[in-house]
Order: sequence, then structure tokens, then C-alpha cells
Amino acid sequence: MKLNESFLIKIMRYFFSIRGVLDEHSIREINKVATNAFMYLWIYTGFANVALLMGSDKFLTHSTLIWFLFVNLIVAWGGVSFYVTRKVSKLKLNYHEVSVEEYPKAVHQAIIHGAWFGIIYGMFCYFLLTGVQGTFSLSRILFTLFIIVVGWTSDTQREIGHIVKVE
Amino acid sequence: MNRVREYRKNRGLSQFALAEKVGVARQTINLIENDKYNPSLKLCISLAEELGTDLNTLFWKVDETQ
Repeated sequence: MKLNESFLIKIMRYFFSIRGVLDEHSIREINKVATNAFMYLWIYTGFANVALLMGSDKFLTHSTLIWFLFVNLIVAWGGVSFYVTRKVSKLKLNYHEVSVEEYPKAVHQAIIHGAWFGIIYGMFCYFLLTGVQGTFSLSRILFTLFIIVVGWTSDTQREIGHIVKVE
Repeated sequence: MNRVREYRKNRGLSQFALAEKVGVARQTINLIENDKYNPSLKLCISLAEELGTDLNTLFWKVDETQ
């Protein structure tokens, strides 16, 4: 009963660490979570835009607009990420059940996943710092390498913790 | 209560082994056995085929007083 995964599901699978078999039950649960997340975003977008329109005459300056965008990112992106991650964890969709023979392979996959996570996270931090500070520097490269190692080890540790051996 | 657990045990299969055979997660088999999830007809047929029985036997509620 394994279903063909859409591109959106593949993205969600990667970013929210959905490791188990995606069968009809898990797809149904993911759809429920995605619908709730969409409703949250839809309602928030409505309120945020109305608030901006109402306050645009009195308060709209360049700095308040930047703050508005910043708050929007945190509430919308952060809120959805937090909600989806929490639900995925509660539904145990991030648990990867494997047989004893397949355990080493699963650990290897967890290490590769951790490496990619570290690289993406590190690159994100590097470009963020470049945007803020501007110029090239050795300290920034070293900081990025540090972030990659921290991202790699923490993600690998979390992934391995979610592998369950089943007899 | 359906009879998936009974037939699975008769066949000497674990939940994980049955799940792998029909292509679902072990949790899904557990939910079906505990009547917490209604599987699709397609999955019911796969389960019946894998357990060597038919849908009526597996899922039809039998009146035990008769």
C-alpha cells in the first residue's frame, strides 16, 4: 500500500524528518496536519494584512516594515515548523522501524542525512552573515565550519535516536 | 473486533513482518488490530490475501452467541 509521494510530501519528509513508511494511514494524518497548518497560515495572513492596512497611514516607515516582515517570518514560518514538527513527533512518524539486519544501513543513512543538514544549515548561516557583515573573513569561514559540524552531529544523534530495531 | 491478530499469529508472523508484506507501517497493523483505524478496501484485500483468508472472515463481526 505504499503510495507515490508528491514533491511536497518529499520536501516535508526531509525537513520534518518523516522516516517511516508512508502508507495510507500516515498520508491521512499528514494531510490533516497540512490542512491545519494551511488554515493557521491563511488566518494569520488575513489578520497581518488587515493590521498593516489599518496602521499604514500612521506607522508605516521603512523600519516598521522591516520589523513587520521579521515578525511575519517568525510567526508564520516558525509557528508552522513548530506545529508540524510537534505533530510528527506525536504521531511517531519520525520513528524509523528497521529489522536488526537493516540497522547498520539505517545508521549510515542517518549520518548522510545529518551531513546534508549540517551543510545546508552552515551555508544558510554563512550567507546570512555575509548579508550582515559584507566582507570575506576567515572567522566567518571557521564559524560556518563550526555550525556544519554542530548541525551534522546534532542531527545525526537525533536521527539515530529515532531508529527502532524490530525483531 | 476484527480477526487480523488471530490470523497473523496462526501464520506465525510478527506485526513487522506482516506490515512489510503488505507494504504499510507496523503502527498501521497495530492500529487495525486494535480497531483504531479503518483500512481501505485495497489494504483489507491485501491483508486477507497475505493471511490466506477472505474479507468476511477477517472483518465481519461474528455474533458469538449463535
